[in-house]
Amino acid sequence: MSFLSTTWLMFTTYLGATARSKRMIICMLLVLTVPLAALLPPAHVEAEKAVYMIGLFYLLQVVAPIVGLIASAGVLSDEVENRTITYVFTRPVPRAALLLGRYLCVLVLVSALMAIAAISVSSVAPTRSATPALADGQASRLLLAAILGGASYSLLLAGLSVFFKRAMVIGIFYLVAMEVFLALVPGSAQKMSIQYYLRGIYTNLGAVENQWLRDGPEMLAGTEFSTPTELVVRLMLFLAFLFGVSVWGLRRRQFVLTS
Amino acid sequence: MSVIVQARELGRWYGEVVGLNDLSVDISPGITGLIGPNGAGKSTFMKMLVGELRPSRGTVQVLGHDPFANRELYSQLGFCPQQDALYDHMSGHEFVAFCMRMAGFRKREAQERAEEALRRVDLTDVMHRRCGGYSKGMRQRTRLAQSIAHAPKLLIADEPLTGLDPVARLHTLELFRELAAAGTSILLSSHVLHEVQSLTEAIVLIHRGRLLAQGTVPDIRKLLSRIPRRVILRAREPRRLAEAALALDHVDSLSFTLDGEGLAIETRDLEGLCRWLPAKASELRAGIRSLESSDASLEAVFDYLVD
Amino acid sequence: MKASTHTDVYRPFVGELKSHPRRALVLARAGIRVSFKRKLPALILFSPLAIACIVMCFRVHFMFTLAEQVSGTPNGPEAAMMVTQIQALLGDVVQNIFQFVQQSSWFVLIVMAWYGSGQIAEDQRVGANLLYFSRPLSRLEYLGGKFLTVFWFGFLAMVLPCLLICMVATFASPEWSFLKEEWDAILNSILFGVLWVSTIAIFVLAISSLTSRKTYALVGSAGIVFGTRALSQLLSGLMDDARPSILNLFQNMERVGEVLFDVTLIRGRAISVEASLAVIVLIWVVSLYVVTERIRRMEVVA
Repeated sequence: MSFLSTTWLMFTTYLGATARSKRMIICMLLVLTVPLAALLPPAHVEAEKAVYMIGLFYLLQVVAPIVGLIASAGVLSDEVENRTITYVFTRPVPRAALLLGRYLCVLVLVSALMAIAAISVSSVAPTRSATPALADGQASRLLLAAILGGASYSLLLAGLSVFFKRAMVIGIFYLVAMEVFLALVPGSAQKMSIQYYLRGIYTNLGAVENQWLRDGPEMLAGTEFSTPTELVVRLMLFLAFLFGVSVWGLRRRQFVLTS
Repeated sequence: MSVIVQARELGRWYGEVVGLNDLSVDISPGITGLIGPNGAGKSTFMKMLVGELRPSRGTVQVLGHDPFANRELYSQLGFCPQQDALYDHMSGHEFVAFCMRMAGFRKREAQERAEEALRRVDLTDVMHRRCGGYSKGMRQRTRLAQSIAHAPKLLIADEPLTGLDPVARLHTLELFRELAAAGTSILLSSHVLHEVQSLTEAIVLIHRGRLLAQGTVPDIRKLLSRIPRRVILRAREPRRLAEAALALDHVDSLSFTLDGEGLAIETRDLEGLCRWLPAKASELRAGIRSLESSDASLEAVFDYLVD
Repeated sequence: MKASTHTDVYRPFVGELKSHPRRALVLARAGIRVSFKRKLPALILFSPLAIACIVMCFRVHFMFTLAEQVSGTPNGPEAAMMVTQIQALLGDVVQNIFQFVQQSSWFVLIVMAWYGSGQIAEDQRVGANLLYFSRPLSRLEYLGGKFLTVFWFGFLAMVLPCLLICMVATFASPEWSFLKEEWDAILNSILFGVLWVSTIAIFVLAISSLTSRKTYALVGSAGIVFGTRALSQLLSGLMDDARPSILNLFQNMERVGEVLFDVTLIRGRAISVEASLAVIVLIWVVSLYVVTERIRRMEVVA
């Protein structure tokens, strides 16, 4: 079976099942808390600040990693744990297509959820605030960062499931150790975390008057961000590299399944 | 092709546990039974044959191919795994059709093949129900259906009769015969000798990860007949019987039980002993109370062969 | 036609049914033994806590040694002042215990989540509940057994180190003064540790009962605590108001601890101790409801 047709088969077969799965419902509930959080600030809080803080400290830092972690379990981990991977690995399908098809399915769903979260927070917060104006490009940057965040975390954690049996556990440790801890350590070490790129893409808005948007993230990160385009390109390259490594791993991987 | 499976010094370790050790075997076309008790290494061997595992040492060739992640081989291979795993959210028909799509068939043909395969395993009535609601036997038959639907050259079935009721078991054995008649080679594992015996003469015996014997059922039977059988009898006067039994050629050893009333006799001719015993006991007024023979199960055979 | 009764068919039971009084303990012991079979996770999870405990013990010991030096050696006011400053830096025993609790809270949560998430989830996945409830084992005993298993790991991770610190203080203090004068600190440490650990234990069990996979329960437990903490910090920052910190489980625990130990870690905390206690009680009630309801369903299935 050709690479493309296998990818398409995997994508179409798993899209419906994943969308209806319990784990996606949990992800949806989690995403729902984002617009709810946007309803909470009192009217005197500027919409710009509310969207900035909810977007950065909740959507990108908490929701995106957790949604990525939960959703990516469907790419390989569940199948290995359920021991149904045998049926796929003993068929004449390219393993890379299997990974790509399933990852694309998760990517579509996670991106949709992240987009809903980003759009809803950008829409709800101004309705609650006395100063409803958002900074130029703030909503679109948040949207881009959220989608990229969801895509990056889900691919990273799907990649982990290629190499580790308990990928979710490793994923949690990764999130705590790298994304929470490393992203707060001043200096260039934080460039190793996805958070650095997401913060940079979201907050580096150019000529913006609001001090939160201008200085906040860089003060927090303790380092200067590159331009958003450069950050997007770097993140995409990282994702491509990660996918390549995952495919390489999957082609060599043998899953020891106990009966 | 004269040999469908060729293994040379095959070994596989799970950490410190030896799954398979130094196995060299050639398997010819037709039906072959892979026999061994639980934990013998049958599943490990089969997983290596379907390329799910790589050997830790040695080589294996299936239909002339190295099986690990070999797509060319997979289109000629059907595998019915032992583990009770199915896509529970799919119906039986969807599941088998999906497997056929992965095997490279177009949608319509995949569905037709799935329907036909499910009919052959007698699941037509329930094929549109979710697999999650299937009984153990139905699940087993669904696994079998996905392994035969694409008409493979070689079918590898890991304990395919486990969990089936007697009727389904007969039905499945009949199906294997049909497949073999149609030219499909079958390698199936079991720990029950007579189950496989009704299907094939060709047997491969594995125990503790090693090859014990390979041949036909008569060969194995001959091997069985050479095993000394242990008979324990309880009598009023066991010592008199022991004295008389010493004169028999086929008796290898004699021993008394701790209570002094039991006599354990190891014989190479159980039937001869049984013919001799009643008359002798009567003559000696030994007063036999009970007589029991140790089992001739496969496990006992394996133990004997290993020792 | 009247059906024959069981007594007609079976030999009626005339003896006395002996009940095993400590079934929950048996279950807990088995759970602990199984959990400890894998050495590497235990080593990784407990090492940071052991290191933190040892450091705290040394601090406490050093504190009392310094106190003795101040009273014993007349080295002049500068030396005494320096020693007093170092003492102030080291804090008192209670502060050290509290500091340990604060620093180790995430690790304790992870330890308990690691060992606790599979307790009910794995039973559901492999159908072990069928075995358990076919024995004379009540729901309460089952819950008790599971609770004690998780509690034990929390005890090892939090209560035991606190007791060790107290023990070091007792032996290091001149003429057992710590034991004589601050015995209530030992009791409070135990009480606080037990409250902390039991709350996390029941919470983890509730999450575990909702899933059939250990990993999901682990993600759920850590995710809920982490998520509510992040949300509370976010809302506090947005509203310039510390009241949303009531959403943060650890903050509530600390608030109760402050009252228990009579110390102030954060001046002008926005949440009252009553509110914190109410949150903890709410967690208990909700978790108990969830876990008992799920166990009831497991028994019905059996």
